[in-house]
Amino acid sequence: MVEVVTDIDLRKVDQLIERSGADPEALIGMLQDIQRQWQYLPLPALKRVSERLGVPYNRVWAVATFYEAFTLEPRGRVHLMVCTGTACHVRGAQEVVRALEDELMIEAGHTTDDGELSIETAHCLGACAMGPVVMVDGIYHGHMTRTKVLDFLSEIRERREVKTQ
Amino acid sequence: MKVASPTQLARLKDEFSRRNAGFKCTVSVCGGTGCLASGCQAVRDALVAELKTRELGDSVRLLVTGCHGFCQQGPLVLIRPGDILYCKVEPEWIPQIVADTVIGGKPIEEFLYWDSKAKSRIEKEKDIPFYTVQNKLLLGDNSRIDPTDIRDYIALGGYQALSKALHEMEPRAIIDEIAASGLRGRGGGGFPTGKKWASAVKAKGERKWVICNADEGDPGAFMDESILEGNPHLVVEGMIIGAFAVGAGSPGGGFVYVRNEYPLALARISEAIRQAREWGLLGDNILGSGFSFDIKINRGGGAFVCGESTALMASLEGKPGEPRAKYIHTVEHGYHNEPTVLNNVETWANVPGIVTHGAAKFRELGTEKSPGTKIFSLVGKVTNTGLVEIPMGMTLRELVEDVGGGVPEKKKFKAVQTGGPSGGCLPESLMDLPVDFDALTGAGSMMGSGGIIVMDQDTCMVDVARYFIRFLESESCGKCTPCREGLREMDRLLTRITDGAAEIDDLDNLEEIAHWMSGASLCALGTSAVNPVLSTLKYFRDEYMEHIADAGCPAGVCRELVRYHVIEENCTGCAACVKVCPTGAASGKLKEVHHIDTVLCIKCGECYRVCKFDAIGR
Amino acid sequence: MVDRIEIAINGRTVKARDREPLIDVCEREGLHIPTLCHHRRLEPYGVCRVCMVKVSWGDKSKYVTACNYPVQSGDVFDTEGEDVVKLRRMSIEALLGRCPNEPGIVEFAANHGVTSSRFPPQKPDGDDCILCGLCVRVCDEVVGAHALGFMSRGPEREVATPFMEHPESCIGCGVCSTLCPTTAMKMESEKAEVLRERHGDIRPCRYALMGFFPGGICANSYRCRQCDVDQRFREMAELAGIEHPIFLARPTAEADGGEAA
Repeated sequence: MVEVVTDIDLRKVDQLIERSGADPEALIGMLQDIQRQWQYLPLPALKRVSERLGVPYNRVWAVATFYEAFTLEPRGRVHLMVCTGTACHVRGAQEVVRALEDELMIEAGHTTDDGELSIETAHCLGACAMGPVVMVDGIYHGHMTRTKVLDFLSEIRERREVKTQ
Repeated sequence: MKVASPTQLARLKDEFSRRNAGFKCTVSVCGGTGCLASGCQAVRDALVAELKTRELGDSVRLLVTGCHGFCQQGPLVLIRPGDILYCKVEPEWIPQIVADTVIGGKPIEEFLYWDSKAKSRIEKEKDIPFYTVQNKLLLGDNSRIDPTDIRDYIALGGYQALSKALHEMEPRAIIDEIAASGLRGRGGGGFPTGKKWASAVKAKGERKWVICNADEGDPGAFMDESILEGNPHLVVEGMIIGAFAVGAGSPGGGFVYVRNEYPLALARISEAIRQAREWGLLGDNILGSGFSFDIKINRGGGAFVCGESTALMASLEGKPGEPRAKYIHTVEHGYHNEPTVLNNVETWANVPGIVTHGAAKFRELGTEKSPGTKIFSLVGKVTNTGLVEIPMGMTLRELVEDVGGGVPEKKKFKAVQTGGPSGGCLPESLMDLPVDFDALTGAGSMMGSGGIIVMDQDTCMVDVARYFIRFLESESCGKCTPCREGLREMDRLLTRITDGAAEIDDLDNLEEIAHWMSGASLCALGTSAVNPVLSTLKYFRDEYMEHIADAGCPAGVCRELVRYHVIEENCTGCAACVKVCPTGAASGKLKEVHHIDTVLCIKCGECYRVCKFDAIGR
Repeated sequence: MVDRIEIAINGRTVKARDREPLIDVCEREGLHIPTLCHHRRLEPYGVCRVCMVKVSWGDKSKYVTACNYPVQSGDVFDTEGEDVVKLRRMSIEALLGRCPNEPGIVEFAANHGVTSSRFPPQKPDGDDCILCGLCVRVCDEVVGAHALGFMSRGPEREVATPFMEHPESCIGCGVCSTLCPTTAMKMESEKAEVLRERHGDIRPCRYALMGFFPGGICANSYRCRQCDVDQRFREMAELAGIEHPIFLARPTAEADGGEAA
């Protein structure tokens, strides 16, 4: 199981809250900032946001679990996002996902046990002409196939010195 | 500095356009998301380096722009004067390009666009067939603007429409002009924009709001993304004019709700708004008119359903994106229950042009009931993938074949999917239908937001139906019974069919559930979810029957029903399949007929993809 | 004074208030519309899709939910046509398929002509929650404790306590379980236990938490069902014709003409 941080610096959470003006309506943007900071949404941060904004716990929890952008499970150090939009689908995106799942032995939406790699599918990244597309670290890689994505994965592991399982 | 009057704006326009014209040469590199995916950053870096080495910074302007539209040919480098377009540019070409074209003014043959029909190279961008059929009223300026610099927008006449609206027109006159133009909502709904604005004026409320829907959830659609990445001020200007017309100035205001998955578009529109404020085009007393208005940006959280107006507004209020009944329109009771005008990015982008040139000019393009241009994303199994802006009324056939260059790799066309998950699939026999707001609806699909996905013989239509149902199932908010339970059950039935385990009542049940969902769902996600299923059942029923009665998949997609094998008479023994096979199922010696072991085969399709001799069957 | 308008229901002309929810008009006219997620004390939710009716203007018509449709002058309603009943029955059938072992749902379905379902249950033993949201809504709108909420979306949508932990703000009033049409929401005695743990030595009576008598202390170790305080309030509620004492403590302006306890 991936180690979940139970002790986070709440002052950092407070800073992020202040930055968006402590506006209850900016809850979603605020959670995105928190997620960018910790790579997931830690429970103590959610509770802090709730208390500071005066938004009841049930709404914060509903929002945190409703939107695809949020994860309650830490993402991997290297996060692979595969586009499964229609244009990418008809060009074989499903096979790209399957290749990654088979290789890393995890399902999309999850992280490897050592916390190094995670796979996620996105319902369209907007680079449709280059599909199938995989995005890592904000960089888009187009025309992916099973073979190419596995080569790409090896390259990532070498370059980033990610431990092979 | 704040632009305080129309006169000052006009002066700045002259100053900035003179400054831009002062460059001997402008090199425009497409930096849209599509070209980012094909490596334009390396090209840009090479240009920066080369221009620096040659000390050309003062005479040559390097512009990294938004989407030029010709994604399939990217990275794109456009050089003016001369209008010379280089395609699929490699960083290694840059020194030669700078030497020969930027400095020498001469085109380099091998780097130009290759027209495979005419079998010749084309030098100028405007002569390329992909571009000649288009009327790029909205996207045309993309290649002339640095989207991070408001001065470029002003130089081309930006904010002149706003100046005219604020100082020379009454709000009523603006609404009349928009109504006369016949502009209809470009997000897919096609509701007359003028009518919506007029209702907002009538609605009672101390505060009114204008919202730009930049959620663009239809997978395969990236039109709004490209407007925001390439010319964000077009949208800002449109919104300010609209706010003035409907009375959404301070204490009301505006929002742009941007999809979470568009980081570049988000950055561009945020910067544009910041600059507009800095220059006094947003905020208090805009252009000295007394009108005050500002825009906030909100980010989506990754939910297709937030493209629906009431869900979007719930999300703006910091809640889950759950739609509510629309028996009372959002134009009367929307954001915070106050009058709200929600329009799509492309709709807002059309406003400045209509104010400047008038309704009659707008109506010169398009059709009677669908005037104007529409941006389409042409993607999938088509040669010229990218964005095209064309007058409405062009037929699907012209769009796919003339503009799109048809299906690549000599494959056979099968269907075109339009309207996203709320739309449907249309077969070859309907390709002469005009693309506008109404014609496709009659056939069981819809134009939608403009996504056009071409499918060929390798696409299984039952698989496509299931794809859309699964998409909607994961995007459904889950509140209402028909959508939540209906999509789940449709998924189960379609999966049974694609697994070759269909039962006799499955098709009847699919149709009954579809009927129920279209009548009883709470919002349009549920009611239109049935379109992909019903349209494929209507036009491709034989494919369904083959899955059900014969447990076969004619397109060779559904894994449970296909068996990969070598077509011996075609096999040349090149071993391409052997090289890519992940399990060693494909085997064979060079120059000998190969073989596929069905036990080892995981049906990944790589052999089929790489075989150049049609020797793999499935 | 609110506008009086005329509408037609099943061929009969009926008077109503402008923008009044159709279901209120029907109730007044003695016309029963089946519902599952509706409660007169709560904001209409419109999600079960059982109260479907058809509204027409000229040759145009659409299907709407009676619980939250605001009637307007000239609206023509059909609440019992074959097409309407078909939609209604399928919504019930879908919920029955989801919860085949729930006596409340099985009975409701049978009363409306639905005795079997082609929809298989999502969970192996069937679910017990129909996601009507009555528990969440009453806790938000009437009790004000916000101790329950929804989480996730689509087929994964479920009712849960925030962060899936025991809610600190729960006052143990049990109205969630009273309104629940199934056995999904249970106010078990163990839950009352937690009140004891949370407040330590101070044992507020749950009726004190509901707002009846501030400072009231529990003398019964939270064995509410055997307590005569509980008995007394239940009798008061019954006399007032409401399901649960919380509606006495927090009356809404509309229901019961705003009568307080």
